Amino acid sequence: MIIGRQRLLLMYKMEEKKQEFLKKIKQKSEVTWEVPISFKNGMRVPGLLYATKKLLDQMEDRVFDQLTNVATLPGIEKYSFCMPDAHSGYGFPIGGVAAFDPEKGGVISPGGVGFDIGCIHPETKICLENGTWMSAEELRKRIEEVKLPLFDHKTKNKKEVELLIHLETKKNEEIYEITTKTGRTIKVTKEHPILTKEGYIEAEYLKKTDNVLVNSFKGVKYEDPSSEVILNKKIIEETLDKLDKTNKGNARNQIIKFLEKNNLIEIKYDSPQLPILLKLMGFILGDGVMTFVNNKTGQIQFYAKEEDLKEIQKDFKKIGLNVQTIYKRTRKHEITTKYGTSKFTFQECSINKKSTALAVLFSALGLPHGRKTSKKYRVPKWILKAPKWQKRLFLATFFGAELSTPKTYDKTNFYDLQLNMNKSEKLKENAIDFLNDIRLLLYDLGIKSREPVYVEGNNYEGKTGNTVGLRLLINGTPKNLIKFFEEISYEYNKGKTKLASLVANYLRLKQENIKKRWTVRQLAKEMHDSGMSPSEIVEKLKTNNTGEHFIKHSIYDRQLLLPRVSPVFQSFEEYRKNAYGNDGFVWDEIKEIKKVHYEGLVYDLTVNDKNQNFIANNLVIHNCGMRLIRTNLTFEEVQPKLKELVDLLFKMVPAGVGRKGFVKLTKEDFTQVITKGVEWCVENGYGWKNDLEHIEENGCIKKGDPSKVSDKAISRGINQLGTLGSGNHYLEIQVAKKENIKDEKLAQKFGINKDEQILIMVHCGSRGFGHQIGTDYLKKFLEIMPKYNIEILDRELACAPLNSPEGQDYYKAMACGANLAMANRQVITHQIREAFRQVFKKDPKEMDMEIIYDISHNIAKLEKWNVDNTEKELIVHRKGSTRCFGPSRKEMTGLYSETGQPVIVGGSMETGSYLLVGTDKSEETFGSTMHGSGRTMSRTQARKQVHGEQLIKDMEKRGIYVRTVSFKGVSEEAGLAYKDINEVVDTMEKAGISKKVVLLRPIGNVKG
Amino acid sequence: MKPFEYLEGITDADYAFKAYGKNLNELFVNSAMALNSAMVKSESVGETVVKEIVLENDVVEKLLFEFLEEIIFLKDAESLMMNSVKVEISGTYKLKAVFYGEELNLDKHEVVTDVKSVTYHHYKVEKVNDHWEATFVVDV
Repeated sequence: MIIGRQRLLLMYKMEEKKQEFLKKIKQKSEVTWEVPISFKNGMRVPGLLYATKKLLDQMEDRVFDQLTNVATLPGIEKYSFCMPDAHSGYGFPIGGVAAFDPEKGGVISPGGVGFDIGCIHPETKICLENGTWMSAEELRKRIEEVKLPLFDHKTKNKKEVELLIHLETKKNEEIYEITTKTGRTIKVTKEHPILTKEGYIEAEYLKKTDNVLVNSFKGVKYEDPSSEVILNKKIIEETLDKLDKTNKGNARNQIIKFLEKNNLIEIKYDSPQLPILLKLMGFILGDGVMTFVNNKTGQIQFYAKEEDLKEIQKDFKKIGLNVQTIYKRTRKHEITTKYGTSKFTFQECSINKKSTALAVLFSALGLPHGRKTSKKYRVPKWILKAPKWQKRLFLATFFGAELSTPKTYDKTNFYDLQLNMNKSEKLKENAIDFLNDIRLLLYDLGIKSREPVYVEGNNYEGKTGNTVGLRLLINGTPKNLIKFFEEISYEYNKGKTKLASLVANYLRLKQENIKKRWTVRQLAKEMHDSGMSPSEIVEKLKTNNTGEHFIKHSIYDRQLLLPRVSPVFQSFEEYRKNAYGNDGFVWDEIKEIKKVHYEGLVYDLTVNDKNQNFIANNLVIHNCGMRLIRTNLTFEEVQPKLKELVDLLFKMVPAGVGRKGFVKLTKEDFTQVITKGVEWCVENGYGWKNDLEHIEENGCIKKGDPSKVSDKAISRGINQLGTLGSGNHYLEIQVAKKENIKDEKLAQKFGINKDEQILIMVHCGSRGFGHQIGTDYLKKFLEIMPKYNIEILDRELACAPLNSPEGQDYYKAMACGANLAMANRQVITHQIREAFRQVFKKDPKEMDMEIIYDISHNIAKLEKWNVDNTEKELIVHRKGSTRCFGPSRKEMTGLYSETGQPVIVGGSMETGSYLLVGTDKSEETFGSTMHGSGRTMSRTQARKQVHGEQLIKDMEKRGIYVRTVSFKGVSEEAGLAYKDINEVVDTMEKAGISKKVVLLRPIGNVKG
Repeated sequence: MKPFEYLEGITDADYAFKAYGKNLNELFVNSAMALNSAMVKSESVGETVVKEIVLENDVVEKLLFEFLEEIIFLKDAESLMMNSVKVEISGTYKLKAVFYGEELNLDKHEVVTDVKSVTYHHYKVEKVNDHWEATFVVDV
């Protein structure tokens, strides 16, 4: 296959991504690697990989991505684990293990993702971080470059939030243009879901009276900042000089070291920390104080409401700085003005950030320290040169602290917004200059303000002499306020921000109202000019908003003036009640829905958002597992009849696509099978009673409930009992050579006590039945996830909290799948025993054909584990991973309480498989280890390199006899398509999680 | 324009496909043929069994998913192998398809692998310029 340029680029990017990943992980021991929580936004626990360096290098980047996605799921405990044989799966990596606490909202999933915005018009403005926006089209072009400045607080490096476009479709059809009463318009395809009071409704089903959720805030258009340097080491040194900071006690060096360590020694316009520094600076100029205590230690105090201080804390964290707790105290204050003395007390919250280096940094950036009223300062020049959106960040927090809350002076009109300042009388001109700097910034952002003035009566006798009051006003005209609130607004002040959004919406509605009246006014005039009588005109044009009086005025007034808002228009106080939640969202009624013919592109955006919660999909649907059966026959006895045996097994155990099993079941029977699992098999003559104790869960998960399984699933499963399937499923005759026995004592305990003893291994699962269950619940979960506030990064990771009705239903259905898988392997075991009976003419009991063990390696189990010194019941997901309990686990009874749980791990059909045991140390990984070797190449690649028929001939020469349904299928399973099993098994042995007992070599194989 | 192709770089353990079609009907047929190629050599299967498939969904992506799942279902529930399928989609969207195949006969059919399901991994259906494309991964 020719690799096109796009694909080469993709592979290169994958390698790049992987290298980036490898840099961030920490090696904990020879075979363990830890992925820190800071690696991905939303990770609740770190990741832990078990692998040698070689195996780690072989893993694709998707494995790391999926591993860390799993770490974001709610209720996850300890680590998101990854086994040495890991490779990428769907949602969850194959070789992934994760345990969830249902009481912490832990979820269960048949198969995580971004926040889907849906199909939108290219011009749609998408709001990004830091109060900026970009059109969808622009975003699409810059998808590789868009760096939403997020910080990895551990490495203090930029972390990109990915924007993934799923769909860019050329449309030549009708799209919907929806306009709301506040004049907002959006153009979307008909399937685009929009949030209304009744939940999400697709665009084509929206009606005029529906209410949609809007938020005024838009922000400023994003532009790329330059790489011009604002601050460097030299400037820091100069600042230290100005502050008289000597190197006494190594102080200077320490400050520089700190700044270097935190990537703050050089700041450019495109530095990722700059947006947050701008915010902090704006706020400090308002309600913050920066001082050098005793001329030595620098500290910065922030005063605000607790909820706003929390935002400031978050921002500090984003640039990698620790933040102290929020202090609360009651203050008593006394101020004497022209009007007398007033005393007041209030609850004050503050943060005190003690950091000389940080204070030096801000000083270097232009902030004054000490009492602001008696210091000379301007808006730092470099801010005046910054791109608009950066200016906005500075202003927004400054205004959050210092600008008044919007207030009405009558029912519908607002005061100008006030910025009040106090300055020492000697420095009053400097204050005017400063306010003019602010005016300039506002002007650049299109906001009108008035010239700063002195305010009588706001002078007071402070601690350091007389001060004067100054004021800057932002025009309170609707147009100006709307622009201000939609583009600048306030930050670090939730109360003001919420109000700002409401006011902007309200003013838009008001403008709509005026517009309507203006139209009517003009129409009235026209009608009059064309000869209509006033009463007729009134008849035609009268509405609630345009009464008779208004219309008559419109007719008779000499000048046609823009009208005021209707006298019945609701007051702002009334309107405020439409607020939804506390972030300035408001319900807005749809005014018009137009179907517009559109020929062009639409975008389906998916954002790699925070708080992804997802759970593995496809995890459990395989219900795949392995079984090892022993015999007391040796190679010498079996070899002469090998061909006959394998041919017979090929007949008795149907393999491959579309095959039906020999067991004919009615629906009633099938229901019993999926409820009772292997118990049903034993009751119906397909097994021995003592088989049960050699199977996980004793062959039956009690919670299986057939009523939770769809008819479709039943239809798919009912004919497949006793079939092998295909792909990497198989039935293998194996030999245990003396030289391959790694632990003789344990081997003996499992009944392997002769040289070249023959065993049989079976690898298969619940077939179509389990898969249908997975698909059914995947669909269901995708629908209900919004109810539980679960956002996922990958549709394959759909999930639900275990303690929810849907989660419980799925668990019961999954249990049915697991029961069927175990029953399937049991029926196959029965067929194997019968085949041996026929060929060797002995009773299977005589041939000691006992089950050594049966394990599942794609399943979620409820198990009791010790977490933080308390015993909890967790739901442990093992995807492509095997349970490996040590001898001390409660579940290990009889022989297994001595040996530990046997673990069966499959290699390729050319190399061999392992029998291992679990150890008590395995509690590290919630009792989990690997399941097999993992692939090195895709099926199609293997097919190209290996010729099926030739491979079989070669294998026969080497003493392995293979019967297959499909030659193409067998070529895909060639040894070279798989990793080295030894390396994988050795890894977990080095980690002390599982121990080798014996390596089993294949001599005969049945494949589908 | 080829009807479909296998994609590399998406999955090692399963099969990834991209199917093409001048219109939706062609896209659906070619997607089905892609899926089928993973299971059996279509030409080796006769046309003695005729089945009608009727599905409805207002999202074309979901419709294709259901359609492909239906073919997998027929294979498991009735052991039916597919030779070919005719698809007619009208409105937005109602699908009527006619499935031609026969019950599994190992002496006659050249089988490949058992497909367990279609996944959502990289799944998408989109109109690109003047034709349609579908990308999907099947679990084997």
